[in-house]
Amino acid sequence: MNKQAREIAIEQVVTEIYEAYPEILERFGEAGKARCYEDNHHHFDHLETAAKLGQTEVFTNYATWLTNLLTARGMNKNHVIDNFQRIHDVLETTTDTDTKAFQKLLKQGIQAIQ
Amino acid sequence: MTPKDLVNAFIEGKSDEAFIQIEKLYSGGLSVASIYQNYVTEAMQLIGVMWEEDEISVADEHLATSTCDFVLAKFHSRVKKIPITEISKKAMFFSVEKEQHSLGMKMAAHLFEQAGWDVRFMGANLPLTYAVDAAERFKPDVIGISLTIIHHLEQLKTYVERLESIQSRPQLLVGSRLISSYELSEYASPATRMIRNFEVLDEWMKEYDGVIPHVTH
Repeated sequence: MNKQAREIAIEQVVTEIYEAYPEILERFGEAGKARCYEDNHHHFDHLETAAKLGQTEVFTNYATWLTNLLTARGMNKNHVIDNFQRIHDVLETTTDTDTKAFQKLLKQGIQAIQ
Repeated sequence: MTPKDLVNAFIEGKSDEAFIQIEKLYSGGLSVASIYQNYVTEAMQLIGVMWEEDEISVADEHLATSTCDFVLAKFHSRVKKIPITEISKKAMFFSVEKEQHSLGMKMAAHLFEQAGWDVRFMGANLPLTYAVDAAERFKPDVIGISLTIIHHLEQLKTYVERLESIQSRPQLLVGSRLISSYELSEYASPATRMIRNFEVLDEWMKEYDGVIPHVTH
């Protein structure tokens, strides 16, 4: 996926998350929002690597690892699922060649967490 | 002593204590490869899990890593080594570009030095052009490449193919914790040896010593 398409998708996902959960801005401030952008870049990095290598486990292992990391810090796994689902839905509107592979991986990632 | 004792010494920055623990294992007759694998690596993996589970902070993890690094150097300086001569075999070690992890590769380099190899340890994050240039000058028999983060896997094939073609025709070794989780062989060459732990490396070194004559450069 090209850099611009990724930036646009992440911008939309983060905006949606902060619209749906305005309380996280109060709780974690702007630093939390910056972290949210950063985390979404990590999600895309893993999607890209998994797709390039053709190894689903790259993404599903990451999804499980990330969920363990966040739940140990008091977050709910549903936040990760919600984030992945939003990326999946935003990708629906893009025409990038990687879209379908990424969407499939996101579904598998969600399944691995549930 | 258990790896957990080493974990406590590392995360509290107690390098003298950690050194004494490792020293006791060594003087008790344990092989260096086994100490590296079953104590040092095991301890660092446990520390990784503690960070994941929010039991320690990033700062604790960094302190543990730097303490471990220091203790490894101190221990290595104490281990008896076969002296290097003009006919000693040569090995160089580094990790691929953008890869910042180097502890595992450092232990691998130490094992080679202890066995009398002429070793150049080039650390983390070495771009391919510099690796090739260094290898063409040093003419190693063995090149050890380390890889920890999955995103860096794609460039491995390029490194392997380019370095295998240099004049000294080195044997490539790839060390990575990823070997136990993913199929990496398609990102190397048929001649590349995948090294999943230090005991495997130790065995490989003995095997290599048995079949390859010493080469003068």
